[in-house]
Amino acid sequence: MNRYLGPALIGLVVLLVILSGSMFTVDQRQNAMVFQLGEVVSVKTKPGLYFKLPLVQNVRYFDTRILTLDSNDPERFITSEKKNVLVDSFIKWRVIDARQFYVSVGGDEVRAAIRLNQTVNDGLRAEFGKRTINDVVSGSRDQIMNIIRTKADQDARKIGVQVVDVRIKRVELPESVSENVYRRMEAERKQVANELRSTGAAEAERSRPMPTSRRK
Amino acid sequence: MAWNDPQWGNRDNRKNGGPPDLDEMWRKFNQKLNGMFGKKSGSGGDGNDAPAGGGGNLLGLLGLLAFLVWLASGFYIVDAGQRGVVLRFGKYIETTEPGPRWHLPWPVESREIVNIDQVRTVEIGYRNNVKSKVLKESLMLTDDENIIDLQFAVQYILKDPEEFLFVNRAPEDTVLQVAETAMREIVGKSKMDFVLYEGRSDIAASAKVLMQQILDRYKTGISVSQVTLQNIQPPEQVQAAFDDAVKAGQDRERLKNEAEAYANDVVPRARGLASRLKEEAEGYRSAVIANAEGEASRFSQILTEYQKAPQVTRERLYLDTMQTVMNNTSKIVVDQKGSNSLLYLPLDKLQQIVSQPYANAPEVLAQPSPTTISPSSSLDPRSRDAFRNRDREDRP
Repeated sequence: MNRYLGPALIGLVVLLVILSGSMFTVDQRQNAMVFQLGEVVSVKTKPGLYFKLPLVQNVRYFDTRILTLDSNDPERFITSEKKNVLVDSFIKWRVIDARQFYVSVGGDEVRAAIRLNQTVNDGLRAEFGKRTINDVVSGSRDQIMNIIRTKADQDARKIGVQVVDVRIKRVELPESVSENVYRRMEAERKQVANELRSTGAAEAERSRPMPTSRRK
Repeated sequence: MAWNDPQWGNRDNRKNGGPPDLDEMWRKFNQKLNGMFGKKSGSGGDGNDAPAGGGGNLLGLLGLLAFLVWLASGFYIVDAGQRGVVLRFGKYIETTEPGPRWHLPWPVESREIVNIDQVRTVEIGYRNNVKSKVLKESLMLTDDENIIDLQFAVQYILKDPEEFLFVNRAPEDTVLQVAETAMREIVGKSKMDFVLYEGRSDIAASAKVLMQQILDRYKTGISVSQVTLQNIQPPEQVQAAFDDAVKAGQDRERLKNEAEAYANDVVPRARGLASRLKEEAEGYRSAVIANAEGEASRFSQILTEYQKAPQVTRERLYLDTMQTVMNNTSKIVVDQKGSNSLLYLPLDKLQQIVSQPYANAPEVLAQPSPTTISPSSSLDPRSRDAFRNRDREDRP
């Protein structure tokens, strides 16, 4: 017993080490890339159990879920009537080509995000420059988003990324302009209020009989 | 064995079918284990073998225990309202319904349990309480370039645990982002008054539809169950002006109602007065007509009398007139011829008699009575016509 137990245990451990070094799983949410001494050997896009050569091959995982790039600070754009607007948008993107993604941005999500953000902002700036505020806020919001999405998507393919969607969240006026908007809203309300009061008075006069003028 | 067993304390009852001895069982089990590992039990036969055999047995037991524990680690319970998602080597295998479940243990299979029926809520424009606003989220531009302050909540459940887990990295944050962009798009397409007053439910409904479309496009596996608008109002800076406009509406109603009330007070009264005046006038009219007709018939009667006997009638008319005229004078006419010398003349009494009809005279004159018709006028039809015409003109 003693004679066999030791080697058996050692053998088991070695086997386990080799096995764990030569097997890897790819999750449903990931793609994996197998490197052999720094060279890309294969890309695993299907989830499941895979084998590799231990020690000489290593694996790198890429998240293929849809990621969100949500800039916290709104960007300032100028519309066609030379008005400043603050625009806040978010980008939904995912890695579709792990090899390309690794080659162009080193597989770094942050670098990819910066690149995407630049593309989208450039696109937005161009589109906003062609339109008025009213267009941007209501009329062609959809249209702008579609244009930017296709444009950003084309560009993103170069880094192995698909842009699922670009959406404009906030379109706001800068603080100082907001103040003017408030003043204008106040004036409008005042106008409504005055109109209501005076039409009320007018109607009251109409239904109020005038005894002196009626008795002829 | 119960402590009050009658055989308690009698330790020699093993052969009588009592409970098996634990030591004996242990020994048998060890023998079997040793057999399994190919070791011949008791081959050495001396004391050295016992500890070694015991060590092997212990190891085997531990192995068995570990194996059982490993198998047991595959058990899991899916509660009502939850779904279990089983992955084999990272690959999605199945979604399991509520109940006790088992999967091949790690590292072959793994599970994720997702609560799908739990209603989750995202608050936009406020946190916890409508009063603690997040202005950055709540202020929105409308189509007519006004700014409104809108707080809303989105309730959602999961419809597809697989999508929820595998497609998006942060599906719950996505709900917040999508809610914001959808609501802003809807509000951006609507006029302020529509958002603030009549369009509240429409806005919530269309935001829900748009949100669901976007979430489906991202394959989040989320189903939006409700979008509730907590609070829609103009921004605080212009609140006063809006309140004033509402007040103006009330003022308008008030003015109208007051005028209405005044009219209701005055008009019926005036109507009553009018109908009274009308009736009086009616009465006057019929009186005048009756009088005129009476006069006319009297005149025609006199005319027939006159034609029959002009001399007598003229005499009578003269006397009548003179009587009327004399009635009103204070003069006393004395007939000297046919009377005796003794004349009783009570002047004071006569004057009293005369003054009485004289006092009645204005009333008599006021009424359209026969007295107004003087013999001269009755004789001159043209002047009478003229008088009548004038009379008609004077009346309304």
